[in-house]
Amino acid sequence: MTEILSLKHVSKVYDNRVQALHDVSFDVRQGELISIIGPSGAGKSTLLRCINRMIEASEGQILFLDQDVTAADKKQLKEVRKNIGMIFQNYNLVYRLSVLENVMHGRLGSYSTLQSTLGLYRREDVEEAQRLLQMLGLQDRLYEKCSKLSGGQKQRVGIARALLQHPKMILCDEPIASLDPQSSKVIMEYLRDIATSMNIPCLVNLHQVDVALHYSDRIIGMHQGEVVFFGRPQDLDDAVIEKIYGKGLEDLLRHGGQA
Amino acid sequence: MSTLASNIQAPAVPLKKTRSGRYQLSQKDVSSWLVLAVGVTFLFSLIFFLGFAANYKWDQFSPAVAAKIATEFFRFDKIAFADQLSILALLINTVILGFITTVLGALIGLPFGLMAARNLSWPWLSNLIKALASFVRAVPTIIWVLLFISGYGLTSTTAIVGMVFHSWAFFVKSYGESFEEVDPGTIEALRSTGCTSFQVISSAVIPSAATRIISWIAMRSETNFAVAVVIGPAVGVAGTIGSVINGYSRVGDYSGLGFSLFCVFLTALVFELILTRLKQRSAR
Repeated sequence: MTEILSLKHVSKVYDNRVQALHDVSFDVRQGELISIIGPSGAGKSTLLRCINRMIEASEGQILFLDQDVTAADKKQLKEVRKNIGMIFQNYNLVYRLSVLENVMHGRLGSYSTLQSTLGLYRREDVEEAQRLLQMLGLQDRLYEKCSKLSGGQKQRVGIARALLQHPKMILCDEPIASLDPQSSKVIMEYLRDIATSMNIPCLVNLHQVDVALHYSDRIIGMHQGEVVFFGRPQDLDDAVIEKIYGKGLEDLLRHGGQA
Repeated sequence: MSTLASNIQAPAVPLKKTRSGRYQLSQKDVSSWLVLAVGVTFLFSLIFFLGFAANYKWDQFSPAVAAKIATEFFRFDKIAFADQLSILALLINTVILGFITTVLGALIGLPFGLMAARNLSWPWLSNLIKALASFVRAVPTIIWVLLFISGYGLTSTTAIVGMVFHSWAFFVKSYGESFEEVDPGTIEALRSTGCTSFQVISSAVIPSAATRIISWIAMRSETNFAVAVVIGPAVGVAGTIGSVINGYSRVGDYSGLGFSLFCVFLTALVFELILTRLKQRSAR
């Protein structure tokens, strides 16, 4: 399996004071679903955003498809971002626009400002968006405003938007934190499927340890900006949970595990 | 037993009752008494000023005069048909004046509104534009029109320029605030797809703020219609319904006055209805 992403000794310090990430190193291979778990404030979101430089890392190297993201200029960074899809906890759609319009935003990078403002999208792109939405079970709601959708449906629009980018990797920032168990399951199964059958690796921030155990190929455990565990789900034991979440939550593994 | 449950069973602190029989829900402090004292003082001084001190001629407002005005006011039949038509033409002029100034102000305001929004612009630029706009806004529209007239002479173009100037400042503020309220997550999501800043603005920021923008434009077009009416008598711009109203009131033609005012009232009402409808549609 080829490596898609590799982080080497990445650190992030906010305002010269708060150490959000400390010496983080790991790699992501083709077709993998990797979960990042850890308490709030452990640096999970910061870590994801350092990868496509929505946040600038203070130190270290981030290699995406053998290219150093941290050293990329404006044009290269645009290419990197086009190749990385992103999914958010709050979906972050434009709710006044229709489902199809929102999905087309995934393709903005390949259009000029004038074209995208006037909505002059190419036929094949619109058709692809339509196919993606059909795949995600939203074929009946193409022209509806996003504000009318349920949470799970909104997240599926988010996934379609990310997939229309033709990403080489997808970053998911707590994709199921605002969803009910049923929708969460649907979304996680889509992500699992994207990783396995479309061969697009997914890096997923999660709060639910049981979900992470069930769907991931590998798990990253974070505590106060440091990676304290990186390995397969079966190697995650009570001692590791204590290292990630602190004392008192060791029962997580035995009791279905809502963190 | 959890600590929460044992806490809730503990006896409550006795509640205080106010003199009016309600339970006290907030701390009374000096400031609320101070506000009351200032309010009462203001009210009494207002009554004193209007009733005794100022030299108003209250006795002129006799019931007989009021009755005469009231009967004359609605005698639309006393105005010649040709006059009615010319009043209507002037009304249309006035509506167009309000409309043009709103549209121009809204268009010119857009780029400046983007520059004034803190989340889309540099802090120094945002501060500069906001300061400039609030200075322009602090001076009333009429004063700006007077200012431009003193420089460029009394034409309807100067009136338009003055009104656009103030509308521009209004739109800079309202656009800026509307853009600042756009969810930063949406902006982040678009930026992460690798598109340009202009695409973020045209595809995410403006569509997200569209509802608010439409209601600001609606609100301003009402204001500008009102200003367009007043601008005739106040500044002396001819060709608006305001100047006609001014003329009728000088010669004491209450029928003409009534008809013109009725036209203004009806237009404002129609405006209100259309704009409310528009706002509801855009919010859906």
